[in-house]
Amino acid sequence: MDRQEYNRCVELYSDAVYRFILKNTADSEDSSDIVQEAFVRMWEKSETVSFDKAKSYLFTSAYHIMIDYFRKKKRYSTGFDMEDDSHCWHPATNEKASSFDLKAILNEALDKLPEIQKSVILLRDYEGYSYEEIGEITGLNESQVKVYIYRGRIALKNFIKSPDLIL
Amino acid sequence: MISHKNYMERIVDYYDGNLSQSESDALMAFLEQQPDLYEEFLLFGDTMPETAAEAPLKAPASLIEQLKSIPDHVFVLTDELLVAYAEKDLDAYTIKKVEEAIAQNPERKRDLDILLAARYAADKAIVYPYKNKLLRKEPVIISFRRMMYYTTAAAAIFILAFFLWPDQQQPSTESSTGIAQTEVVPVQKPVEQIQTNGQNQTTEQTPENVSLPQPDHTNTAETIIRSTEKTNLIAARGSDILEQNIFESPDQINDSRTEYLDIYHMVEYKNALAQNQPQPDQPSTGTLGEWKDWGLGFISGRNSIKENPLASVTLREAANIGMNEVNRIATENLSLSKKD
Repeated sequence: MDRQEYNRCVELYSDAVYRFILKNTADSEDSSDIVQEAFVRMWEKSETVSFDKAKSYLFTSAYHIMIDYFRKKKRYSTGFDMEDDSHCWHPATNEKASSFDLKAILNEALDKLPEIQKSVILLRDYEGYSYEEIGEITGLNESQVKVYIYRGRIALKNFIKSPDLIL
Repeated sequence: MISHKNYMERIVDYYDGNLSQSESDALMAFLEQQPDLYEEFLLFGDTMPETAAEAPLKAPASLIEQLKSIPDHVFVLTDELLVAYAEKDLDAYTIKKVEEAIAQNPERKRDLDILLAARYAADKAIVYPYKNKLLRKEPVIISFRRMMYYTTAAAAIFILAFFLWPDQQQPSTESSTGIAQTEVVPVQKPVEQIQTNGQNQTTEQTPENVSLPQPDHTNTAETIIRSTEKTNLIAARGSDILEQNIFESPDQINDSRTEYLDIYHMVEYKNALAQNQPQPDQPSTGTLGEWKDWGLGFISGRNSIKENPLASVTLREAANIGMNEVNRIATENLSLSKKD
């Protein structure tokens, strides 16, 4: 990959990678750092990474950097409660989601999923990746990806159907 | 056997409550030997919803028996099939079966609608804010050819300046006209010197005898005609002779060779430059010392092109001026040489 192709990748994929990471981390500054680190890694490996594989490489790098980010955050933060989503960033949920706001409900439901389920579902919905491609990015095999997507979908369905939302 | 390939499945099964006690013990033993995986195990457990860690509900025995009584050929629309249908991950036969089952079961139709609606679309309004910082710019590379061009042009200008500008360091000599103050030997006057039998006899040429020069060809003395030396070196050779003569303005010389007048004006102009007396219609062209300093500085990299003594003149223009000057002087010298 030469300099022009790399800059083309910046134009094409930086927004998509940023949206994916931001949705997972809910922190714009940390997301920016993760995206920057992913592109730096790709530039350092530009001789071996082709333009065709650049998008997958970027998502893979960003995903693994994000995993390290979660681990460090878990390690250095005390009292971090995954069920407490007050730290999360919800573009459409400034207040409790109502039953008529599907987007807000989905955002709320997404934050209740485990990170791995959240990631595979976002990769599937945002970028339309196949099971195999999601497996390459997340380091899972295809069967594991199917399992996580199935569990995530069922959890979302059950959350949407929950009586609390109806009331 | 738990390995690096299947440990995640075991971890997932562990948190889902699908492992027996012996399988759980085996998993713990494996993780104790792998600190990194154990950390991942703990992290995975922390990210699981509390409900996922609860033991799965056991179906009533009566229901299990009822399920067993269902024939194998009866198609059951399970959640797995419903999700797979929503993900478009089924073959054509199964898709048809699922659609038939959905058509007969409104509740499953609602579940399918929810699954299809529970999709996330990327918000295009969210863009990476530091995109420009990621872009890699082309490094500034000065080509070798361009550097050679600059160096050659600078050297040409430096050499031209060295030969074209008068040297101010040498002592000046006041001439009869009061214009030439430097060492430049006046060339206003062609001198005919006749040496006869060891006696030097110098004859001043009046307008009359210049227009009709009549050298004494019968005399055995060697006749030397000197004219138009405009360089210091050449002029110095004849300075001893010229100092003995009385100079005249070239206007007084009745000679068809107008090169004398051109040379005279040129020397006059250069002498004026040497005295830092710019001509009325000529811009300041700098002194030899300034050109020397600039040339050395340019070659060594201390000066830029724009800092040359010829203000507001580009390198290309300066080179063209130098080349034109060389051509003009060369033409004049050649012309004089032929005529002389």
